[in-house]
Amino acid sequence: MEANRKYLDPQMLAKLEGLELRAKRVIEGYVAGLHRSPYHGFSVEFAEHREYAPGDDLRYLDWKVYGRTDKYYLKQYEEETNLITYLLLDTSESMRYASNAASLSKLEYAKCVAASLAYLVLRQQDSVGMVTFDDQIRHLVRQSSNPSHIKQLLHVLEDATANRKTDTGRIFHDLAERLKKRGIVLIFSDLFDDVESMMTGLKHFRHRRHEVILFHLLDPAELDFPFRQTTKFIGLEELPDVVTDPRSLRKAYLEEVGQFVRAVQRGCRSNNIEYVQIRTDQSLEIALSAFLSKRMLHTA
Amino acid sequence: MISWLASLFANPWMLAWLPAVAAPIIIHLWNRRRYREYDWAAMEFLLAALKKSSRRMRIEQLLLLLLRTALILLIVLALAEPFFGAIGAALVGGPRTHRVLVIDGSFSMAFRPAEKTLFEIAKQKAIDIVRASNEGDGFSLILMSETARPIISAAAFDREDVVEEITNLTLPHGGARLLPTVRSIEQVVGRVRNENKKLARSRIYFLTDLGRTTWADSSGAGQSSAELADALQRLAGQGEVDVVPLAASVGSPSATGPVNLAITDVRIPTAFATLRQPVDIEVGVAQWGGTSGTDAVVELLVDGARVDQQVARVEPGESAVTVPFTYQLTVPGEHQIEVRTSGDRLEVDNRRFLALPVKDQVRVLCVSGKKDSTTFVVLSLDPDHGRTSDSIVRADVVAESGLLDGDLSQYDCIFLCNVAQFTAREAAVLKRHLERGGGLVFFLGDQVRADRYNRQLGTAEEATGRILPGTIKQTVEADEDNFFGFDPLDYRHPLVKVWENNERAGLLQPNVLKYFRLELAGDAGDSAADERRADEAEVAVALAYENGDPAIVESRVGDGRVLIMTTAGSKSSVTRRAQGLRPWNYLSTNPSFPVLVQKLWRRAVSGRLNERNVAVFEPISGSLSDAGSEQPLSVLRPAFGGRSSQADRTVRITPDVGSAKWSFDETDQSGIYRVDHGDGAGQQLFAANVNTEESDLARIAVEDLPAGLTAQPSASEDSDVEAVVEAPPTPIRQSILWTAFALLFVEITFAWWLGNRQI
Repeated sequence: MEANRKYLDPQMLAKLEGLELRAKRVIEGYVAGLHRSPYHGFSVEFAEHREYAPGDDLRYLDWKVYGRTDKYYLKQYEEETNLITYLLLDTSESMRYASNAASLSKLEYAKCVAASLAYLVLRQQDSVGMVTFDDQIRHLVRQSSNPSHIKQLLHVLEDATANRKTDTGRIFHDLAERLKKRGIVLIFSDLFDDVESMMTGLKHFRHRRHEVILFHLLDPAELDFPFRQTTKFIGLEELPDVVTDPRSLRKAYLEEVGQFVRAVQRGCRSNNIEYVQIRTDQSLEIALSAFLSKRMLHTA
Repeated sequence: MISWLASLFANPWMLAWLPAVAAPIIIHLWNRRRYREYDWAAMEFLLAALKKSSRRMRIEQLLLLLLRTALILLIVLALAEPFFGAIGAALVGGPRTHRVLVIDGSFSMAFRPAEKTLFEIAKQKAIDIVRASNEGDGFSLILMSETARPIISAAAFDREDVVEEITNLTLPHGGARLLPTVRSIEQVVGRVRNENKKLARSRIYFLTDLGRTTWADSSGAGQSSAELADALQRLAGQGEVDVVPLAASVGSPSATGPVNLAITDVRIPTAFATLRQPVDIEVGVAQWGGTSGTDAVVELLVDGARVDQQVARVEPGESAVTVPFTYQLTVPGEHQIEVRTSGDRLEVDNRRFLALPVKDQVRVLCVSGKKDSTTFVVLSLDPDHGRTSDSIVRADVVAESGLLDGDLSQYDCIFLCNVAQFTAREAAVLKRHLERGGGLVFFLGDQVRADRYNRQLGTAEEATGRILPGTIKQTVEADEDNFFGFDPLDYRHPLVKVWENNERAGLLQPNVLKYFRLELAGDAGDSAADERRADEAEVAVALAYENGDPAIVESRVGDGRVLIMTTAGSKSSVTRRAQGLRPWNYLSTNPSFPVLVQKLWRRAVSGRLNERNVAVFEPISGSLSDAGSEQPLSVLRPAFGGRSSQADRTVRITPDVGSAKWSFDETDQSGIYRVDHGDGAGQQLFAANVNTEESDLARIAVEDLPAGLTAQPSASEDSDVEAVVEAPPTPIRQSILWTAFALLFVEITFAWWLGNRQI
């Protein structure tokens, strides 16, 4: 229950009441639910007619239409299925960074977002699975739509600590192979890794027909670089320390960060990956409700 | 090193701040050690940014450090006030000049046209010249006075030392002699050229009021003028000669100069003073310059207290008005008389002093060589025999043998009447009496042995005394029934002046039968040394016989005077004639005899007063009470030039070993000099007075200066010296400060830009 209180704020969840995580695309699933399934014929809800083509299954021929028009039309039904949501949480060392301007570290922030979304998905009776990773997969929780599944997820989140380097490219490839069922892959990471290998990994998800939503979590200090006095920056993830005058470096740093973000955004655009940048000084409910509202708007 | 820096910077000690230029570097390094620590996730981007920017950052930091260092350096330099010319000369080795500063030391420079005296202005201008000169220039300093004193005769390179010497200069109260000064400059310039080859150029500055008294010879005719013109021409050949006239406000050169009153003389006509009679004091007052007369207030001060005052109408011109005072002194001892006037801008010559030793009575010792030899002399000296209190002379009589018995120092005058001969010891005692300023009067007679006189007192080299003005030769006797009369020699001598127009008084009446012929030194083909000695002794014949032989001869020995009468002073000296014994002369029964005796002792003792009163720059001297003593004496000089404390004014002098005399020649100030013998003998007062030639403040025109002398614009209190010194080393503090301000602005802008361009 401790983890429940920590990552699921009832007030925030109340504000998210009425919002749903909707898949933009068709999702494979077995349980009837909110989402469209690529499989026709097993559902009771008629979808449309189409002309018969040789080789079509005659079971779906609409004889009533043939009787009225002497034309062969096949009946097509829309099958409703459940949504599988995979929550991929980066727990590399860089995710534990929190500046003074942010109340939560990137990892904690990501945990809150992931927990909230898991709760939402389970509440809409879809199934949700979770993976935590750094340079290896640390936890992998199979998807389930059982409401009590949230406890397991929260437990995993509670256990997740940021200590190691990251290797997103390899991890994404690995996970793309292991997550067989198509669904929505939600990735929470600061993406401080090689952009090219990471994009290759993300492409793999897309190749597997997953819908990928990339939550790019950045601390406000990483975006603004507000330091003024001479500072010793202690490198995380085995990177060296640097003593420098931050004011004279700020411009070059911001350019570097800007290039990185633009490279990520460009990669996401070209691979139909939804990119969501979240500053950790942003209010969690605003960030989530903005994301969910926008999504509902586009999928309505 | 310090003096070298002092020549480059006005405030060289400010260079002690130079290490402060390291402050920005130290602060920079210190700041690098003071930092905050943060964990940093986006290190890859930081490293990439660092890699791209490190070179630029280094350059920026370096520039900033350079700016800050230069800023502090410039501020320190500005505080030290460098001289541009001096720095330039030090760096590239510019021409070096030997600058000879000649300051007019005549007392007319004490003229005060406004707040400062001309001498003070001259000193300030000299200091300005020193300060405005280039690095490496050498300086000499000469005070143009009576003696042309080189204060710095070699080339001095430490400006502050030179400035200190100039500051310490005091104005003597004498005149200024141009010719000796020019010769002195020639010597200084020549010596410095020989000793210091680097001082290739010479520039001589005369800072003077161009007083006519000093400079007239330079533009006049005559032998001295020609000599001076030659010397000045030679000087002009050795370097540039600049004349800096001081204070145009003195008056136009053609005019007679501003009004100047002066006390020209203070004298006691009687040449001595006693308590028995009031002292007559005659004061001469004159005015130079101006067109109308002045009612001069003349004050008489005795021992510092004002005792009398008179107003005298003085008309412009060289003749002085005599203002008589009479004062009764009541206390014996040393007295100082001062006479003052006021009302002009030159104070030095408004005061005149007289040192006056006063006794209760004048003591005279009469030495008798034969019975009755001194009878008439004593009667003439003290007719009342001391019975009345008015008698100013007290005469004591001793026999010839008693000369050594008493203490001669208590006698002012000694009459030696018909004394036969002198021993060497007696001659030495008499000599010492004379050297102390005492008087000696000889009356010869029938007892006198000329050869003994000449041996002990004569002018011969072996003589002990060397008291007589010549050699006593044989006696001269008149023919039967004839007498020798006197020739007053036109009454030129003060001794016989009183008989001028008084021939009936009987002095010239022929009544001398016999006398000694006195051959004066310098006569009869004597050696040059004898002639020189005669000149020094100021030998003068006061009265002669009709045949031209001297009858009364005066001469000086030491501070005293010797008067010798070549015939007898009484009727006790007799000569055998056909009619029997006859006195050498009947002079003693002549009505003029008492007057003559009075005149003789007064004349004989006048040396005492004269020796106490000298002109400025003349030495004062005296005899030691204990001959050969090495006991030092102290001389308290008059207050002058701000030296008011007694210790500053006291000079100790030590007499030469074995000498019977002391001498002090630093009498460059007018006033009273107090000599303390330090042996309980008490104080002696001496007065030094100005020569009023310098009281004439008229000056020569600049156009009348000899060729080769360049007249500079007149300098006053406020004028500067830029025209006098070529290529003045400009203090560049202002330029440096402006540069520092510009750098400060650039530094602030640059630092702000560095700190804010990314934000």
